Amino acid sequence: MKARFEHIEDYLEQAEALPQDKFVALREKAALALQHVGFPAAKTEAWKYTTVKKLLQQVYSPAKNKTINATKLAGFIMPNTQCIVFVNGRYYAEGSAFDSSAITLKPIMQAPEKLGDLTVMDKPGFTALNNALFQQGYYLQIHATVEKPLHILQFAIDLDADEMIQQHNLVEVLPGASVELVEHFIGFDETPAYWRNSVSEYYLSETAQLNYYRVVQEATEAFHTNAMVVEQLSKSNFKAFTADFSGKLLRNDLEVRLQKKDARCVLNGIYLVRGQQQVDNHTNIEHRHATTYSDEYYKGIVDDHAHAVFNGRVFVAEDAQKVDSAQKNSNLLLSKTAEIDTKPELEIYADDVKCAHGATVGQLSEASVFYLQSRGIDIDLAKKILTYGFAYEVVEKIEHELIRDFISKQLAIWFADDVGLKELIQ
Amino acid sequence: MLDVINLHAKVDDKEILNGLNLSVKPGEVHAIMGPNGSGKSTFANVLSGRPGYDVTQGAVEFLGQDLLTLDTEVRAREGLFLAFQYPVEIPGVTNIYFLRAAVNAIRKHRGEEALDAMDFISLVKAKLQALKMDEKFLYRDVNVGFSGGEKKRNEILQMTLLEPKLAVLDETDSGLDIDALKIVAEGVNALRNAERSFIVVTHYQRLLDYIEPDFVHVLSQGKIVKSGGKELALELEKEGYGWIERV
Repeated sequence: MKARFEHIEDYLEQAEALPQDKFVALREKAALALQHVGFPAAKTEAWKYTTVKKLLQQVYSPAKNKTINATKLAGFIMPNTQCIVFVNGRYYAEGSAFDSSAITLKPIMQAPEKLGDLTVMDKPGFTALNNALFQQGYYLQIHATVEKPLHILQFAIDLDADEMIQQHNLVEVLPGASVELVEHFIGFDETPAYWRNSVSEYYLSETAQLNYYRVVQEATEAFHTNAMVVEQLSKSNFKAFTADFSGKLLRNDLEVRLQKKDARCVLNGIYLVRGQQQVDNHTNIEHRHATTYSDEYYKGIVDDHAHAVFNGRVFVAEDAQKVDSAQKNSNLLLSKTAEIDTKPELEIYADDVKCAHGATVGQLSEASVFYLQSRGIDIDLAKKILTYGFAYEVVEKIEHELIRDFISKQLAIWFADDVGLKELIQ
Repeated sequence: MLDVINLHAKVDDKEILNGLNLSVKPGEVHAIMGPNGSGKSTFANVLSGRPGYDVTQGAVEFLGQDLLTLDTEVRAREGLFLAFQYPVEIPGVTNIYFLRAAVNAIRKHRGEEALDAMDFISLVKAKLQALKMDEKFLYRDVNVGFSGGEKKRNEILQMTLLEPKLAVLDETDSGLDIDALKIVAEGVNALRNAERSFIVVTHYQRLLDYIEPDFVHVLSQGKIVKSGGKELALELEKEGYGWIERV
């Protein structure tokens, strides 16, 4: 059997054993897609830099139900926010507290029939798997302006190496509503190599605003594959900030469909990769209408034997005139054994558009290191300050102060505090 | 304070300094003038230990130590300060973090306690006022988007915070309008005392109207060809550097 079809029968059996629910059509479609395309293989274009061999070595079963103790949870709660807590993919009501006047939260099984409509299943193969198997997830509706940021905590607790979390989520931001949504993925290093595979769909109505922050701190040996699709109607605004800190393999597929005029998206991100880690960010911005706008800036720091991939596709449809799109990806390569693959992909079918893109891979500037040293700063600290600054340049674009501080703090934690950097920036 | 003896240095295999001698005593202000390419900036960079500036001959003694064997950061901690001709822009690093890291590195070396964020703010606020700098400078990234004058004022701010024993100002007047020049000069003058010395490297006499030197040296082809009092600067201003090269 070809590697990419390995274990597919087992997963299809798992799917057949599930109780019948209203998403039967979606699940059947997903099962067919899975049988047809399988999992990513070495020749799969969208996966050519990222190997999932280790991830596919075994069959995973659904994660066991666990809880988190209150003290442990408290350490992760951001002040002045409201929170929704999930443990191993399941909603944990005792730990959650939010304002239900602007927010409606339901289990994904109560989501409308359109669930799955935005997902792309003909590409291998994790989205199809999720659609076939998901039992968990949230259906979140934002119907007014949410004042305090909404912090979604996604814990992975006491998992075995063959357990998976398959969440499918649906978020609707209704006309004129707005929210700051921080989704925080947390794993612990005493847990072996679990797999989290999530699929999320986002509908932004006219003039809706979603500021979405994604902070990934999985266990060092964990696999994390994630597909997000965003559909934007006119004058809606989507701002995403992705911060990839830990996990053995992180793959984010983020697709934004600018469906109607004056829709705007800003996709920013940082990835910090070291050891044997692999992080792969695939973004796909589709300008499907005239006068739609996108701005994208991802920065990566890659050390040791780690490997980072950035693939940024920008598509401008025929007749989508006056589109303005900018994309930038900068990487700091800190080790000779680290690898970076950065690839912009522009497909433009309209003629009156502005599309800029640029990608760089470089080292710390000698002049900057010298400048800091000339002020008495030790060379190791100088390099850390500059490396931190490299990433912080994107973090400081976050307008919401509380969230900016929260992410800077996570950034500081990522840097081993052996030279005093953390004291300095806190 | 500083003794430079027969200093030879090259940059990219090109001999730039050709036997420079200079002696600076505590409290003195020395101006080093010279045409472009005479080696002024090279001298300033060699003193601070910039990579790529290779000393091939000669010696530099700073407060009884062999300066050339010290790492750049150690030179700074021992009391040497270089105000850069082209201060470096550092995106993502907030000015206040940078300044506090520098001050604490030097305090640690002197055996003093590190300043926490609060103490540091009160220290730096007082210094900002003297340089007519807005507090918002502290929260901007180091030199990013600063005008020429703001960058130079930021250099002087660092100098006042680090309280060096010897400050080397490398073409600090370049790119400054007269108002900015005055502010920078006032900042320098406020630091002048019987122990602290300055080496002011400049192409033009103008800066020396505001920072009065005790000695003026003319550098040409990598060595000092003429020394004198402050009147030498005026002479150079009138006659240009042409006559020096004919000496």
